[in-house]
Parts: sequence; structure tokens; C-alpha cells
Amino acid sequence: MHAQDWQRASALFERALDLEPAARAAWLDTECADAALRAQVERLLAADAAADDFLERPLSASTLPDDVERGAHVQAGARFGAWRTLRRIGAGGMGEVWLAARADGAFEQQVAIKRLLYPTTELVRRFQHERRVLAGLQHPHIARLFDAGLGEDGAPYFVMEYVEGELLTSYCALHGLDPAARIELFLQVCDAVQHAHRSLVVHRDLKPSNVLVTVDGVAKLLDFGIAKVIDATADGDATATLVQRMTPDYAAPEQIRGETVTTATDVYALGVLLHELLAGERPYRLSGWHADLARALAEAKPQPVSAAAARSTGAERAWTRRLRGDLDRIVAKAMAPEPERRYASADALADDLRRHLDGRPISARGDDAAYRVRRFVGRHRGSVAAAVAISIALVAATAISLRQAHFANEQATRAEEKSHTADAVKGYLLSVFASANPYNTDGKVVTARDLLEGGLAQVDKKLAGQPQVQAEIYAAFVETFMQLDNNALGKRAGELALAKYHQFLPPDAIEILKVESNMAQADFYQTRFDGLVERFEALLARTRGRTGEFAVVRADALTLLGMTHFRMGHYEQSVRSSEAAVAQMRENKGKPYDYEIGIATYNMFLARMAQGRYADASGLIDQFVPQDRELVGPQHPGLFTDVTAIAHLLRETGRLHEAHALYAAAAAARSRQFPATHTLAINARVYLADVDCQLGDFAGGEARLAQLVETAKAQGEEIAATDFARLRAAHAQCLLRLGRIEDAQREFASARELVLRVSDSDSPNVLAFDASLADLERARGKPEATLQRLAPILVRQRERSDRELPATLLALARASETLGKFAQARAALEEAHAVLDRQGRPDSTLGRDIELAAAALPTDAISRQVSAEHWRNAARIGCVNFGCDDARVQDWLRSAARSSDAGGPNPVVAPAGPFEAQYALAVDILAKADAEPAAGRK
Amino acid sequence: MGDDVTQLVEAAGAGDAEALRRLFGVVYDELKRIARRQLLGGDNATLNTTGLVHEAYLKLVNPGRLELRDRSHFFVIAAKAMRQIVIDHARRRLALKRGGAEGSPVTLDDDAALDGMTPDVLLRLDRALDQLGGLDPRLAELVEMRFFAGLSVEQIAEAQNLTTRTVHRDWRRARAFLFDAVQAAG
Repeated sequence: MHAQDWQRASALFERALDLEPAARAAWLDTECADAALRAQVERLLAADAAADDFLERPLSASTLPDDVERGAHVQAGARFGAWRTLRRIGAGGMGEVWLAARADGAFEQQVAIKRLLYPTTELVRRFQHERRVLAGLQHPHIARLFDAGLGEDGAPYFVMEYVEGELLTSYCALHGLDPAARIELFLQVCDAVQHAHRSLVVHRDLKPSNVLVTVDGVAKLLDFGIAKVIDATADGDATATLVQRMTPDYAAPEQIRGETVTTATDVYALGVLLHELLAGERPYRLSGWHADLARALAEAKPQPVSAAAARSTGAERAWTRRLRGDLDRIVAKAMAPEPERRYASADALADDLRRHLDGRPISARGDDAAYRVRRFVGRHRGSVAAAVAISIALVAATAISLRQAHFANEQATRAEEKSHTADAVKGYLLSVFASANPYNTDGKVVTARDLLEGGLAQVDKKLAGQPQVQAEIYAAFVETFMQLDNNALGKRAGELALAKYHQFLPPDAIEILKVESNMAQADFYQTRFDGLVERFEALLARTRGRTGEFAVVRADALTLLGMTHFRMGHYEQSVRSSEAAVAQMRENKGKPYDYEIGIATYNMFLARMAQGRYADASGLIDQFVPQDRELVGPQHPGLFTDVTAIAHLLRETGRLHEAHALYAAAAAARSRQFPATHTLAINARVYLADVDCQLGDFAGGEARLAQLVETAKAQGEEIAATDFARLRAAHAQCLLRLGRIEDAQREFASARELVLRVSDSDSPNVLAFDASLADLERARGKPEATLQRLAPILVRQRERSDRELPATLLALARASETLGKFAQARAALEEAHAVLDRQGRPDSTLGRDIELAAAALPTDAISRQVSAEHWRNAARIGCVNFGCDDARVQDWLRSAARSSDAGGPNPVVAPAGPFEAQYALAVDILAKADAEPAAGRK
Repeated sequence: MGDDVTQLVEAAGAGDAEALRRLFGVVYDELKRIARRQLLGGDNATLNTTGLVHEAYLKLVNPGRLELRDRSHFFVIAAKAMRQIVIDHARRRLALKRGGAEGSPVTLDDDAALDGMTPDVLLRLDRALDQLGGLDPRLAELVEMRFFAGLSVEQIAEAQNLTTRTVHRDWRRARAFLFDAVQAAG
């Protein structure tokens, strides 16, 4: 077909589409004399009808990865990514391990490449799922996973740290280590396991052959999490052979039964490992694989390690005395058949071991992490998985702390009994949490809430008559619920805790203060601000001058107070509270910065932004963003909040494209890290859509904002009133640009009503909405009403140097101009310009609007020269906002040329922005977040 | 890096053929890199072509410096690069399927590929797209941007300096042609 033919045929096709199918034939009769042409048109029409959704969805990767086939064997010298294999160093049932060096000849660095031989599509899918998690595991005692990929044949391979050393058991035998020394080595392993558990990675295949000890005596764990990738929880014959890979001797009963595998499974394996280390032989000697195995294991009681040691030839007699007692108990507890009866974590096991080495009674050290860990749900609330894992740690730590000095007066027997009960409850809760862990439910989030509610009732029943224990657990629940974003339940738990505590504690006891603080925090997140300020101030009064944990409560109260004042619009008080919080935290923690100090600093930043003190806000950026980067990994959600903060600054000062790029990146990151209905994900999209609108995509921006309003509505109470108000305000602004007055009215009114829930009618936010609503009157043709309503607002805003004063003045100017009061309009615009200058944002969208309003004043009001200058200013600002090539900027330059008596458009140079460095900082953060996990080597 | 590529884009947009060639190479490499990483790292292991192209953009270009027009140009290049990556890949798979790799028996059902886009179909689409390009280059570019790069109608309209309405109508024409051509070749 010729291009011309195509043009004709496709043009006819297009027009035919507008007709009813039945009418097309007749129409084609009249239009198409040429039979060949008609045939072409008909073909196109037929294709259009038959095409369905052909090409409708953009290409997705399901078509991209190589299909996976039986792994061909690899030779030495084969390439895997940047590496070339040297020689094979191991082979197992499911894969082989090769020593490799860099293909580019930099010979010093050697790695181990583990290749899975029998990959299936399902396996590859799991592999891809796990890779990022595994690569993030960095620990001195875990063989590092550097990289992973799919080989040419599609089989997955892992590039790992090459560890040269002896098997743990051989090492101990060869060097003749005594029990204490073996335990020391073992503690390194516990440390590694604990680290991985914190990242929700379970090893599943812990055994001596997976632990190597280097010549320096450093233990290294191999194959972390890889076992999960190839675990046979999927059905199908292809994976049957993989099941046998699992070493039955070390497998926990639930693992053999094929039930869910949790961190407790690793604890079991650690127990077996410890037994073998100390006794010189394995606790069970199981031959082969048979159906009775599971039952056998569940019923079997391994010999106490001391007895095993006594019997085995590998251990000396002197040991057995040392092993008897504590060590027996420790090993037995780690290897308890029921997961909930084991140590709650590798750390707990390690703690008991350390106590044993120190000669102390093996009641585990409680750290009372209960209160300190992740108090602030403030900046980002984290995924449920992380929250649930933390909950485990919290409840476990709390329950363990019961054996603490607090109740040290108790008799040993009472303590035993109590700890047993607490263990029982704790065990129940742990299994509850473990089953809720998304990693064990293939990503489906179980309603932990229902499970926890049940847990609350259990505490009441199982621990009746032990109010101290009950109180402790309720108190732990407060935080647990809050971590899961369920503030209402958190408060209920808090009330229960307080009721119990008051039975046996004085009113200013730290436990009570902590619960009260948590509950006030819950109220904050539910936006119940009535009397909240007073409650925080009361907490401050009760903790004044006190140290230790009281000082921590104080710091929390100050931070929350700062946030509360902010939401209510008391910006100066917000800054002062946050400042005091920072000072208090520095004193408490003895360090200049950490994540919580960063939160308080960030709150100060927000307050300064709200006051329009942009220079101060900019200064504050440098006090938390660079520090955050030192503190957290490059993918941490907090860094995207920081990027967003910088974007706000850029937006306010008119650098719209830069702001847009940052918002877009942050929104993308947020949507990867949070569900789409989460406040943070919604906020990110709001900022982005708002800037889209400011850049000129009114229709697109408005559509997105309208959709976000619907999404936010569906979230109900979950979205904070002030966040929702901001969204509606942004929507309203965009609607205004489209000239949709009544819709804008509705949105401004809603936003105002939302803000009134948390602040009074005199607060800056409410006044701002009042001004916007007044401005709408002018748009409806009632400028006098605008002037009237604006007057009292202006007075208040001038008094308080309110950030929104320039916007109000612009509204005044527009209304004045409509009424022919040109002098008044000019004065208002000049004042607005001056305020913007002082605030440090002359190039903002508002600044541009002001220049345009001034330029549009009729010629009997201002001279043509002045008018031209305003056009040029608008163009200059437009350069900053949009870039100089933008059509709008060119338009304004032409208007300037028309106005000016000196002919010709003047060249306009976009000045360097005041916040370049911070923009560069944000871009760098984003770039690093983008980097591959092997970034360490780059 | 950001500035180099920015300059390349500007130069390519101004008609510098060498810059265009180099730009294509850079974008191609970056897209492949990101695609591989997305495939291996993500929770769902699906490739979001739109996201991928924007990631490459953010990575390669200094966003504040590029005008809207040049940004569009980048996306046009990226779309072409995506197409090339995909088609290269499809060719390799097809070769494998025909027993290209020695000693490796074919076990899986390649024909049951997803989205109906078997390697076979993709290659036919590629040829049909070439044909379309011969008749109406702008339409071929539209398909590259929409299908291979997952760009929005607004972005495409911006890139081709058209209204979204025109883009919609163009899309319909292009799709009809391609569907017809792909069916005919099969």
C-alpha cells in the first residue's frame, strides 16, 4: 500500500467509525468509487471490530523473562554477570557452587556463585520475590549476598561472599574448644540469625554445614533465605526432589509436618546445633525419611545434652558437669516441640547463654524495649508485616521483663509460676502473630486485629489474679495496636492497663505515665484534639526535672505537643515545642541526632513552611536530611519524606519542574512501599497532582485530584482531617483554574469544615479558606461582597504576618479592579509583592499571578512602561516555573513588547534558584535509592 | 551523567543525528539495566514499562534542565529502545524454542505466554510496525510510545504536538492496521 492510499483509506475508516455499523455500507457506497480502496477500508473496519484489547495494555514483563528450562551444566570460565567461574567447589541436591572471580581480570575479589540446577517458573518467581530481601541482609556473620540473577539458560544464580573456613563442628573439634568457647562461637550465629529475623528472613535450613568458621575465628552463616526460595511448599512433582533436600535431622516438627515455618523454626534448629556443638553428636539420629517421622519427632524427647555428652566419645567427662543444669535447660527450651514453648527469638536464646557464661541465673535480661521501640508512628507507619514482627518483639520483651528487678522481691517459686503463665500467654500471642506474618501467609494480610482482640480476652482469663502481669501485657498491647494503626483498640488496652496499674502503683509511676502518653498519642492520630494540649502539658509537668525513663516520656510529649500545635495552626508554639523536644532528646540519648530527633526537626520545618518563613525552613532541611542519609538505608521511606519536604520548598518558591520530578519519584516510591489507600501514598499523589495543575495541566491535575478525593473519602477516619483538607484545597485551586466556580466553592467549604474540626475559626487555615471563599463571590459577579468579607481577614493576617496574606491581597486586588478601584488594586498588589519578597518566594505561582494581575490593570491606571515591566516579570517568573521556551512565557514577552515603548522583546534570563543545593541533594537521594543492592561495590 | 544525557537530548531534538544515535544507545542500556533489576527485585516481579521509562528518565536526565519538548523527545527515544529490547528478546526466545541451545530440551509451553503475546506474535507485530512506519511514521511512533513504553495519551499528545483527541483517533487507526497485518501474517 502506498502512503497516499493509506491516508485516504484510514481517513475514510475514521469517518466510518462515527457511523452506526449498519449505516456504513451505504455510506461507503457513496464515498468510495474505487473498489480496492473500499476493500482496504472494510479490512480496517473488520480489524477494529475484531481487535478486542489487542495492544491495549502496555507490555508487561510477564512476556519478558526467559522461559526457564532444565539447567544445562556450566563449565569453568562461564560468565555470570560480572563474574567468571574458576572451579567448582561444591555440589548438592539442588545446585552447585562455583568459585568465581571478576571477569574483567581484577583477580583479588573472589566470590561463590551458587546455581540452582532445577529451576521452574514457580521457583523463578519466588526467587525474584526474595532477592531484594536477601540482598539487604548485611551482617558480619552472614555470608553476604552480593548479587543474583538469571543465567542465560534462565536458572537463578546467587553471587555470594566466598567464605573459606571449616565447618563449625569440625572447627570446634580441631581446635579442641571447650564448651565456653563453643558457646561464644555459637553466639555469633545467634546474632546473625537475629539480624535476619529482624528483616523477616527465616533461614529454614540451619545446620553445621551451613556455618563456616574462618581462620580468624569468625563464624559465617551461609545460604540465608535461599532455602526459603527453594522450599517445597508449592505442589507438583517437579519439586518433590527438592523436599528431600531439607535435612531432617535439623528440621523442626512443624517443618516436617509441612506447617508454617516461622522464626521459631530457626530457633529450633539453633537448639539442635547447640546440642551438637556441646554434646559432640546430634540429638536425634534419624535414618531416612519415612511417614512416621513427624510423629516420632513430636513425641520424642531428646536426651539432655549433658547425658548425651557423657555418653558420646566426642566430649570429655569434665564437661558434663558444666553442661548439666542450665545448659540442659537452655537446649531443651530451644528444642521444645511446640514452637510457642521455645525461646521467642534467637536473641532470647543468646541472652540466656550469656547469662550462663557470666554465671548469672538464666532469667533473660529484659530490655524494656517495649516503650522505646518505634514509638513514633508519626512520619511513616510501616507495613503490617513490619508492625507485626515488632509486635512480637514488644510483647516478648515485655513478658520477659516480668522477671525483672521490678518484681525481684518475689520468691523464686512464684517467679517461676508467673513466668510460666506469662510464657503461656506470650507463646499464644506469638503463634498468633506468627500466623499473621505476611511472609507466612504468602502476602495475604490476616486481620491481626481480630487475633489481637482475642488475645486481649485471653489475658484476662488466663492471668486472672495476677494484675501486675495483666497490666504489663495490656500496656504492651497499647503500642502493638498503635503500630497496627488501630488507635481505638490501643486506647481500650490502655484503659485496661491503667485500671490494673492503679491497683498497685502510685499515680506518677513511670508505667502509668507511659500508658497515658501512648493513649494521648492515639488520640492525636484519631484527631481528637479536645484538651489534648492540656494532657501533654500535664505529662510535661509530671515529668519535669526527672531523669531516665521519665525524661523519655517528656521528650515524647514535647514532640507530640509540637505536632498537635501544628495541626491546630499554632505554628510558633509548634516550633518551640519541637525545639524543646530536640533538646530533651539530645540530652536523653547523649547524641546529636537520630531518627526521632529527625522527626522533631522535620516538624519544625513544616511549621516554618506554614508560617511562610522559607529561609528558616530551608535552613532546617540541612539539619535533618543529610543526617537521615547517614542513619538509614537508601530505600528507607523516611528519605522519601525528606525528598518530599525539599519538593515542597521548591514548589513554594516556584521551581515547579524540579518539584514535579521529586514529587513523581516520591509518589512512585510511596506506591511501592505502601498500599494505595494509605495516607502517605495518597498525600504523595496529591502533591504531584497539585503541581501538575500549577504547571498547566488543569484537566489532568483536576481529574487526578477528584479521584484522590474519592479514594480519601472511602478511607473515612483513617485519613487525618488536615490531610484531607489539604487535598480538597488543592482540588479547589485546580477547579478554579478550570473556571468551575461552584465546584471550587464546594471543595473550599469542605476543606474549611475539616480544618474546623481541629482548630478554631481564628486559625490561619480557616482564615485562608474564608478568603478563598470570599474571592469566589467576585467570580460570581459580586465583588463588593468579596471586599466586605476580606476586610476582617486582612486585618488578622496582617497582625500575625500570616503566610497567606499575599493571596488574600491578590483577591482584594482583583475585586478592587472589577469595581474600578484601580489605586486600591495597585496598592494591594504592591503590598502582596513586598510580602512575597520578604517570605523569600517571589517566583512562586502566586508571585506570577500577582504580576499578571498588575500587568492587566487598564492603561489609565498604570503607564504602559510599568505594564510592560509587569509582563516581563511574569515572563521571568514563568521561566522559573515552566522554562523559558514555554508558550505562555513567550506570550507574556509579546505582551511586554506590545506595551513597551522601547520595541522588541527583551531577553529574559532565568535566575539561579535559591535552593539549588537542596534540589541536588534530593536528586542524589533518589539516585542512590535507585542503585542496585550491589552498590557497595560500585 | 545527568548533564551529558540532557545535552544529548537537546542536541538530538535539534536534529543532531550523531547525538541521536548515542542517546539511543545510552537509553537502551539504561532501560535494560532497570528492567533486569525490576524483574529480579520487585515484589510482583512484573515490569511496569511506564515506570521503567520514567525511572530511566529520572536517572539519566537532569529534569530541571530539560524543557517539556525535549522531555517528550526523550520518551520517544525510550519507546524505540524498549521496542528494540523486547523484540531482541523475543527473537532469542524463538531461537531457543527451535532448539538453538545445544542439548537443552524444550520443556515449557512457550505458546501459553501471557497477554497473548508470544514471541512469535511480537515479531510479527514488529514487522507490521515497520510497515506502518513506512506509511505513516507518526503512527508507528505512537504505537511504540503507547505499547512498548506505556506512556499516557497526554504524554504522547505532548510529544507529537497534537490534541489528545487526535491521539485517540490515531491510535484506533494504527491498531486496526496492526491487527490486520499481524493476523494476515499468521
